[in-house]
Amino acid sequence: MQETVVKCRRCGAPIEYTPDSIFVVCSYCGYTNWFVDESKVQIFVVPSKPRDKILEAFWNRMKKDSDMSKVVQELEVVDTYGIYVPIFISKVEVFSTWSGVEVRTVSSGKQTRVERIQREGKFSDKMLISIPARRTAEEFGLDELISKVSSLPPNYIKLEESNWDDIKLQVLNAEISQSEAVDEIKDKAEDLTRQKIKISNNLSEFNFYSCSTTVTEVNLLLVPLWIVTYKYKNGVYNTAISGYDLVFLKTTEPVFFRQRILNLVGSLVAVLVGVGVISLWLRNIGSFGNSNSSLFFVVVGLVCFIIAYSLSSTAISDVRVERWH
Amino acid sequence: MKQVKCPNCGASFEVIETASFTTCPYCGYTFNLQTLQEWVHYFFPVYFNQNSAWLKLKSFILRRYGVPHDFYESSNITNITLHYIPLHVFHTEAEATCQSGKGTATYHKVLDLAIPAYNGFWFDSLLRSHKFSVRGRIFFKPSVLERGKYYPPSISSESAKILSQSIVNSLVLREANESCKGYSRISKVDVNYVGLVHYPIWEFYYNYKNESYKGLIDGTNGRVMFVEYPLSREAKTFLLVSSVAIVAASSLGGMMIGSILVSNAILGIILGFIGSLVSSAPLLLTALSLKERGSEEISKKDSLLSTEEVASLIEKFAGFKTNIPVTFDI
Repeated sequence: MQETVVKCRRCGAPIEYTPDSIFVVCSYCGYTNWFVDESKVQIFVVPSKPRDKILEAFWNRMKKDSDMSKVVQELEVVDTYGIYVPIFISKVEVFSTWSGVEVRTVSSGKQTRVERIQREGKFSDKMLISIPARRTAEEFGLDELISKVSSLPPNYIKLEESNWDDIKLQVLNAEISQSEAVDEIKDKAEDLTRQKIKISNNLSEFNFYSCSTTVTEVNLLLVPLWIVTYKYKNGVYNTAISGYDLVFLKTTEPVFFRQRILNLVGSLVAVLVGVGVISLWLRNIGSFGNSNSSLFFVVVGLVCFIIAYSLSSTAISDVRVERWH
Repeated sequence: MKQVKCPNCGASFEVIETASFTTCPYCGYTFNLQTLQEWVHYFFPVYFNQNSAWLKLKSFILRRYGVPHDFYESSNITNITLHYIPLHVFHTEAEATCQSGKGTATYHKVLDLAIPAYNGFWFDSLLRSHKFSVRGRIFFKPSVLERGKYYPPSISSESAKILSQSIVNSLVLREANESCKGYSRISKVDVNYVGLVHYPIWEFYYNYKNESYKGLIDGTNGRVMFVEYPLSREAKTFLLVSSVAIVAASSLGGMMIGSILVSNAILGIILGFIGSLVSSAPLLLTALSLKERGSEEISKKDSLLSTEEVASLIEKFAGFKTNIPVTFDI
């Protein structure tokens, strides 16, 4: 059986090409093979640290972590791999006009009432938005890497000016062209702006929201993502590390028995606090009449019960997840 | 049977009369038999083979709470299948325009959708919210067929396209309705067919102490999509004892709090009892279930659009799918 092999135009090594690859960066020599000439853009790379630095960072963290350091002897790294993920990053300017309803609880003395206030305004903002240049993709730590890239943009260099031999890793093909990326970035910027306006003005609903978006400087970055898989007592856990600054993006860690017990105790305390608050409310129901301020007590009491529920769920969960934010 | 010639490599081979699409057994080129046009067809390679997938499943189970100590040695595979499941992939963009007293505004939604092209698995609902591995996706190769169970799409790309359009339309309209009190309508919609993808999924059945359990593993990135596993007797006992202890302690504590704060011990007991039932529900439900279930989360839920949401839309709209049958011959 014969299968067509696409070769790198510079060094001749086989490369993995699919029909909607915009380009393929050769993993051996770092040369960019373009397949869609009209979507040629400047590609930048955020150079990755080498594998031993990644592992060093992993062990340092495990030794410093108050829980993990006790079992560090029993940990074993089973797999380490790094990839360059193609990410579009772009400067976006938004200008928005909005009007909506703010719902406020106003209390004066023991009286509380709910007010609906019509509000409107204009909002403009500059932001950085990044999206992966891959379709419906998931990878451990990818979401965190993308939000990190847009909130703290890393230093990058032109791919052809990098010293590929020092920083080479497998490069994932980009599957989304720049024009598609611009549409997606606009969509994301509109949604984010609406959320921002909603939260900062405490709106419960919009009557009108219009947003005009200007996308400038779309860059394609290759950002290194490393996944370290480690073993503890036959269970496997993962750590995602950003390859350029060795920040831990997401880590799953075992839950120890002591932590389970602590969670259960916390759950018990939360129940008792809830009981106290609700019984106070029940006593005061007579004196407050139908006033709304008692609503506060009910909400606090129920929140305590919800906290108790989530603590006891955590007590029997399989991993603790720590995320970069 | 009729003879066809592959437009890509020139090889001749036979296909059944009713086939409308075929894949060349020599070069893997998939094409429309009438127009000879290429059908863009990918697959995701299996990075996790049978052994590594089974190890992944076991090590995932072992990190869960309350798994029996002899689980690693005493669990045995009884049946294992590699399914190559077809999904139609679309790139969709829609625009809605809203007219209100304040003016006119437009809203956009850009979405890549993977619509399962074959129904009838017990894990259909899991496939609807499935995301692809960031690695992989290469041209379809016929050698794939030898390694797993291959399913030709039973839902045509046309009906999947209608489905994708309904999904993106309803999402953009919802966005418009949430943003603008006025008259909203779809002003533009664009659905592009990216291609057919075959995705590898391992289905496991295993035994532990004469009881059968099942699991699903993503063959490309090794994600545990679904798993059932036993809980040890000690773990169940611990959970039962802890929940009883929590209920007792809360009722007692409630009695004290009730009598101190509001001088009503009965009220405190009742509240403590209710609150502790709520809080120990996770423990009780786990202790009383016959099989524990779990799945591995890789990405956090997208705050703007969760995959579960898309899955429920697929379910909702699939009701009126036209289901134009496509005959595949591989």
